[in-house]
Amino acid sequence: MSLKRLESPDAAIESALLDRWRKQDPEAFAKLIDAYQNRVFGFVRKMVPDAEEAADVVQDTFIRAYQAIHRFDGRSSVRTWLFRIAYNLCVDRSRKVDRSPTELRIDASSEENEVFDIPDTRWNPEGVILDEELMTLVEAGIASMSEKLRSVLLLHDKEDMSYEEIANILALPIGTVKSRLFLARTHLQNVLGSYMRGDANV
Amino acid sequence: MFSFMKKMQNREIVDPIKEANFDLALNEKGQQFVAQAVKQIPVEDVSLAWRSQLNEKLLQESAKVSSTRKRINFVWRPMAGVAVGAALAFALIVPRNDGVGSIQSYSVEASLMQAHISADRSHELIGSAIVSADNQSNGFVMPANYEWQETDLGAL
Repeated sequence: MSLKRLESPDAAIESALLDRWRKQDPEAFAKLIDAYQNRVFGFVRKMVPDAEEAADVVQDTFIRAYQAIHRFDGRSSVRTWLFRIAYNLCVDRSRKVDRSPTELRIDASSEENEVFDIPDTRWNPEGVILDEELMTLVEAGIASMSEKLRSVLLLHDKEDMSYEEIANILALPIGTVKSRLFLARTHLQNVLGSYMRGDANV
Repeated sequence: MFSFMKKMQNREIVDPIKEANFDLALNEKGQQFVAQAVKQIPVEDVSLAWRSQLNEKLLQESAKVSSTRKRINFVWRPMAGVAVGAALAFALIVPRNDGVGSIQSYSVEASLMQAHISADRSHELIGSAIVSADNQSNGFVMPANYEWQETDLGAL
């Protein structure tokens, strides 16, 4: 059984909840958890392969946020702040485990490859229907890329965050965010290539 | 494309036209197809068990915070009381001890007292002669060749 998902609260409500939270109102913090728990979990679940570990990371995210409320200056949104905590915890965990996939390198020798330009009329974004097969492929593709690419892809394409917001969360320049997004999507295009060509064994 | 991306990653200044082309490349059909596919991945919701576990952890955390506050209050409140008491004692008692019998301020009383002391001292030095006392009071100095007359003597 799952909890009902809430949309992110707007800025005014979020600010009011933060004020109440700072005054030790536990109900305000509970409402913020309600608003963000599934989104943070969705992100962390893709960053951490093990479901139980992911659940622990998300709990740690909210506990850290609870402990650090007095250090939150409000310059960024609560969403950005929570995702930054979550991302840092994922990175810490990954450093301990050290089993993340090798990062895709920007290699000049592969510039001649055609992976960055797939002229195929079947790549029609309006017609994307994520059936079970395609979903499995997409998830496998996401899992097979490095954390650096995966985080940017998920934050931009899944969480609808702007380049600036992502740059803030990951402490990166915007140019790096864009190039990582491009590489991540290209990697997925390669993974989905066989599916798009209509191969049977994908 | 790669050299451009490397430049962007290294925070180097890039050609704005190339940057615009790169933004267009991010909006190409293939890239947007993948973006749409990622968007459609279903989100896993957290379970009620997970949430109640989180609530328990947060309760423990809140108890930790309040016990720390109590400990701080237990130490700091008596210390603050002692500090306030000491400050009051200093303000009320210490000035009384060295303030008795001496005039330290520049009040009217102090200047009167000072004038009296200096007049008293000069009186001792000069003696009680009337002439000298009169001379001192108006600043008049008797010339050495002054001839005394009987009227002067009558004034005595």
